[in-house]
Amino acid sequence: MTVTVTFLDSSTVWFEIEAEVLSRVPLCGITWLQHNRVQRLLDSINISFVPYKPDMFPRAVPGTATPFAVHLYLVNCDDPDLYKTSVKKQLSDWLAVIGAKKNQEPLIVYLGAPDANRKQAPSRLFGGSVADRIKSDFAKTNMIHLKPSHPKDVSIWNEFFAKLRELILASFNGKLLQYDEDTRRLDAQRLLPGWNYCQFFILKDGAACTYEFLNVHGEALMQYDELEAAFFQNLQEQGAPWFQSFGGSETGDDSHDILNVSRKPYRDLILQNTISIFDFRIYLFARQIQLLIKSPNGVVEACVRAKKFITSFARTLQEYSVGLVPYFTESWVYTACMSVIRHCDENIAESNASATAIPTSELNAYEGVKAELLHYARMQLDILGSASDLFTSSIHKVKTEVNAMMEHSTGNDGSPEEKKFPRETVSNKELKDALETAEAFDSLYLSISNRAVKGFEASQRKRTALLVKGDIASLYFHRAQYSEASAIWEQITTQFGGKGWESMDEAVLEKLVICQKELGRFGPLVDACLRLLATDSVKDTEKYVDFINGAAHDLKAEKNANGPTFAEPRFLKVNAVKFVNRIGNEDAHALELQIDNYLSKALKVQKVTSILAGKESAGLTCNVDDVLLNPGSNIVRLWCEKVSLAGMYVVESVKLGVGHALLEYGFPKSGVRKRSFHVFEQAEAMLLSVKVLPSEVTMAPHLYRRGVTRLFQVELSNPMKPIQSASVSAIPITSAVIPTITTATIQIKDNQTQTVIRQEDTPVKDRQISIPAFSTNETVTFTLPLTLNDSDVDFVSVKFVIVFTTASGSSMDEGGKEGTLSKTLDISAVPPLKISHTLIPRGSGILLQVLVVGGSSVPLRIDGVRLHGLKGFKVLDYSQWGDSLVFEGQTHSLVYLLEHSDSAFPRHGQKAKVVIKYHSTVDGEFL
Amino acid sequence: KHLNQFIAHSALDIVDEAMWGTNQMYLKVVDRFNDHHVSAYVTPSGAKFMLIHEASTGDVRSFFTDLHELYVKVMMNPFSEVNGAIDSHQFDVKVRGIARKYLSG
Repeated sequence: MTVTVTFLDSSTVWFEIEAEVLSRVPLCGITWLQHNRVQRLLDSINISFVPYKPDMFPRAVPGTATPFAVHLYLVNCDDPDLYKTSVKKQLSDWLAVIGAKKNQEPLIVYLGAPDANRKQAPSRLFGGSVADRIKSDFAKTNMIHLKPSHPKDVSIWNEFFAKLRELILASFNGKLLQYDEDTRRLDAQRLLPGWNYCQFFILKDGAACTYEFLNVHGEALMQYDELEAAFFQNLQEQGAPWFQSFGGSETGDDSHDILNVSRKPYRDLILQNTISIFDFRIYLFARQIQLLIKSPNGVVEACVRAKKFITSFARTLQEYSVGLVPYFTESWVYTACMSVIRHCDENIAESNASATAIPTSELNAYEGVKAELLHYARMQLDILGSASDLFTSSIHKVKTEVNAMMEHSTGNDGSPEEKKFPRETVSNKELKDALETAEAFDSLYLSISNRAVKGFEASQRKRTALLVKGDIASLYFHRAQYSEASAIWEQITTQFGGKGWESMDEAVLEKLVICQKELGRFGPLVDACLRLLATDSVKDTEKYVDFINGAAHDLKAEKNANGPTFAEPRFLKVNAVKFVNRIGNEDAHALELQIDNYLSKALKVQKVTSILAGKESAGLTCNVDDVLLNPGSNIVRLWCEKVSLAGMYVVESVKLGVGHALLEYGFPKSGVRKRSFHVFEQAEAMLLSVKVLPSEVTMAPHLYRRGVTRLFQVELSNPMKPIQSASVSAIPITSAVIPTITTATIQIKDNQTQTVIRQEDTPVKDRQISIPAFSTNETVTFTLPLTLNDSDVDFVSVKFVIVFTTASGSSMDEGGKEGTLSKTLDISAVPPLKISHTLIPRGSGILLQVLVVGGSSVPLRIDGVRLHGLKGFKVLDYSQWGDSLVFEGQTHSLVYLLEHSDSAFPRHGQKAKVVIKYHSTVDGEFL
Repeated sequence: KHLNQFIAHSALDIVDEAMWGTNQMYLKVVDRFNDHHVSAYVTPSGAKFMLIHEASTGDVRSFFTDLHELYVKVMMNPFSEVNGAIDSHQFDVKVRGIARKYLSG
């Protein structure tokens, strides 16, 4: 705002000085000492200079603020005669007009000629110069005599402006003092009958405007704040008798820029006591916001106040809605929000354009409050859209009573049946257009919502931003644009899902499920359904379970990326029940889980996996495919992989695969649930042991093969269950052959007594040896020949495959189960004794040393040793060896002293045979 | 009902902002949504109480103060978890009690 200074130019001086004067306004950095106040610094005062006209002053309305402060009379006449004849008269006329005004300061400015010229001016006898004469003629009037020392002297302007400043402040001080006194007087009479708030308002309003001229916005705002407080106080105490009506019934009331104070002659209406409450509130609000926007960093405060005012006044409008056109409130709120935002944006743009940029933090805060207003405006669109049958927001259900009220108010028009559409009653053009067609509505809705989202995000209000995004999504949803809607809702659910805002999650997920279903995206559908089921309060669980089961079925075809993992959804409860250590190496161990399904429908689970952890980072995975979890308790058996390390295992987690998604149930380290189990090494159906008997066998000549044939003994013992029948086949893997045999002799021994119970010959078919029935405490023994290709081989690998059928053992076990035990054994094939010899000549005879090394794991008892086959030699002496034991690796040397006795036989090249008779100590068998 | 959660949830943003601007625990009305007002109270431990109410609802401050006391009592239970859901029936009854006492309607 600018302060107006008038000038009356008696002798065309203004033309000369205009440039000099205007270059020095606005005045900056002025200290202002107001009456009874602390001194303050004014940023700047704008001054506009206008030529004086006697009729330029408006009709004095009490309380109206005036920009006029100082009136200049410019004179530079130095001719006393001229002064006497014309100037003096003009001056006194001017003073008569100005002097009559209150708090207006006249100032006579005498512009002296530069010093250089002055000397030539003749000194008068009577009364001196014109300046002196003015001084004496108008002694009570302020006068300033500017005496430039040379034509370009600028120092005179400092003097001039100092005086001008002083007078302006004096004028305003006077005015404000007057207002102060008047308002105080009126305020004191507040409770007297006949007191009128409007008069009070006008005075305060005037004071505020006066402050505004000096750019003291804070002070001006305070006046309005006081007025607002007074308004509410009076409203409470006395009602509002001085307002004619509620108002708001004029056309365009809902669509004009509420910050435009010149739209209606508000002040005149107030003065005449004919203003309506509606107009009054708007005027008051508009003035406050105007001042706030102007004050430094006031935009945020302006928006905050605007939101507060608009919400509260919207409620008032609702109360008076009977007298208003339908949907007036919504339209008004929308318009008000948008116009406040527009003004604030303009202000921001201006400050950015000028040097005074607004700090970022302030801008962010502004974005936040602006977004709030946008959101509020957008919510009006929700209401209007639903009333126009264009859009029914699913998240923000428009309250039914609002609509009911609307219908009621239309009913007053005499057409109760005919429902009026908002577009017929709303006068805001933007809204009218938007409500015509769905496309226009959508574009407005989306543009405002997106602006709001941007604002909320800029100000770090992520939750609210997502809320608004949810609104956008529900518009898309309403328009059946499911992919757009689902994209937004997926974002919302991933960010906010599962944090306890259950009804909110539910509202979003229900829609998301429908979207995904429509789009045929099974993975996300399962995901959404599971999330939905995970909320506690969901209804229609059957429907969603059906979706999951159906989608999971379709999903089987496309096995791609991993889905999300859900931690412990509450619709299932998983407990480990027991661990079944199984026998036979065909059936795996099993982990039994109890899964309680709290849903009302059976849920298909594609895969159940459980991970068990043992000692020394040994792990065990159990899993099972395709489980149907019926409502209630289910026992699910998971098959275990091969156990490599026996011991205690702890169930760590159970994962249920539904579609792509995984439901994970962890087992806490501490807790009451049973979770640790003793896991045995995969127990075999029976014990199988094989050993090679220490003797060699001479096979029938037709069976003879190169190499050494040994007998090996196969022992089957300790079956887990009684065996009804079994067949054994042995397949040598390395460098050995099993000769074909037709019968095998099976011995069955009792384990306790070690006595042979039965002995029978069984036929061998296709190299499979049939074994008769035997019970758990019996041992089956039979022997098989094995031909070693190479007698030096230490080990032979033989694979045994035993196919067995169990007999019924107890009442629980029906028996008849088939099992297979396959095992590859390394059989030690070291010969029982290794023999080598050396010959040492001794005198006429020879010493024959035979070195015997024990090779059998079973100690061998030596029964006797005989040397024969040497002809023409006589054994003179030999070491006795008999009835002693040879252990594995033990070396014994036999020494024979031989003498060549019969020369008929050659001395060399004879072969001798050492026969050692021995028997195994364990078998007790003589071989 | 879900609307209330939406309101309270989005008001959390404002609470997050407002809680640093004051040393009071009671933050008064932080947000308005149509006819709903959202009042908030932040305990020194950072727990946030949110109350959605209508414009004039009695003594919200005292309600929050008493609620805080109840909350502290719940937290003193060695079995209760910080940031865990409070499923105490007794707590529920008491909260309803103080709501009747301070909040009209």
